[in-house]
Amino acid sequence: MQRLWPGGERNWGITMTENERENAMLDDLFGAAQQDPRQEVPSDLIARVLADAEANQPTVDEPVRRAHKFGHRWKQFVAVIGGWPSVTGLAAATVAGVWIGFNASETMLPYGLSGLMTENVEGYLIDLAADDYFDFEDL
Amino acid sequence: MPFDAQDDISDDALLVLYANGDAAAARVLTLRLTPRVFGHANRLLGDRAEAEDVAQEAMLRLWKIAPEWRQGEAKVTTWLYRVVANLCTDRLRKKRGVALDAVPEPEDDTASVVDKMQDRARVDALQAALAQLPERQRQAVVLRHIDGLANPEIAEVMEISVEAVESLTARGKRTLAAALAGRREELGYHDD
Repeated sequence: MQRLWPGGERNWGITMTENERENAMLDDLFGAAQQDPRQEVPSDLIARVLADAEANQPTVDEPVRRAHKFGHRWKQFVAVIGGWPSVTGLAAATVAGVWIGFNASETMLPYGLSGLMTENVEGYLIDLAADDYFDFEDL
Repeated sequence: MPFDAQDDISDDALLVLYANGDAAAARVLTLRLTPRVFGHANRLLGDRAEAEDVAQEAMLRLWKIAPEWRQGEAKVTTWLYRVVANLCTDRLRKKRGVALDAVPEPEDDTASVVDKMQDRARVDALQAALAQLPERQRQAVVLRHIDGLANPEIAEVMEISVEAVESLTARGKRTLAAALAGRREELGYHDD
């Protein structure tokens, strides 16, 4: 069967450029490749793939094992920082930091954390009226 | 879950079901993905037997990675096309040095219908021309024009930019056209 180019003389006399001819031929070839019956998957390949799927499918207890991965990672972390003594030291330092934060002594913070919120700190507050001003020389 | 109820489920959701022990999910994924994987390998390699091996190996890797698969992060097909391309590249490198004319000839066609024979001849001519392209051009052209992927997905598969995909497919098509130019008449393309 002779195949005519799309367009050509039948298309109101408009002829195709060389480039258009090439593209039309390639499009036709790509279409033929998509429809090629030889691309059909052999049934024995499907059977082999299914057998692999069955052989490699995780069993019921495997997802549970996966759930323990967090524990595995924690063990790795502990090992990296130097074992349980390091973890203990790290925990103690954390607790101490929190305690100091909430119970700061007068040596560390003269009025304690609560002092920041009392009248003792009013002197540090500057509230200028809209028409007030000061020069840097006054400071 | 009924077998046909899984037809609308996405590939990655099915993969998670598979990893959780759902046998029906394995069947749906196999029937859905094996043809694409096999077809792509066959076009890249031009060798049915090798394409079967590649398809089986790619699917095996999918089954093995299933427990680690993070749903929503990547498309299963994108991952598979990448695996297939890598496996094909390995095989092509091993075969490198084999002359192009040593690529197996297409099987004899016993069909008597002329059109059918011509279609086969066309596909074989295309396959032979594809075999002459550099690997990356061939992969891009096959993904775009035969497997029908959009450029952004091809870019993901090949781990390059969309512009690079456009450049590869354009160059690939030009080379294909040049390789097939002398066979137009023979393949039934007439200029009238």
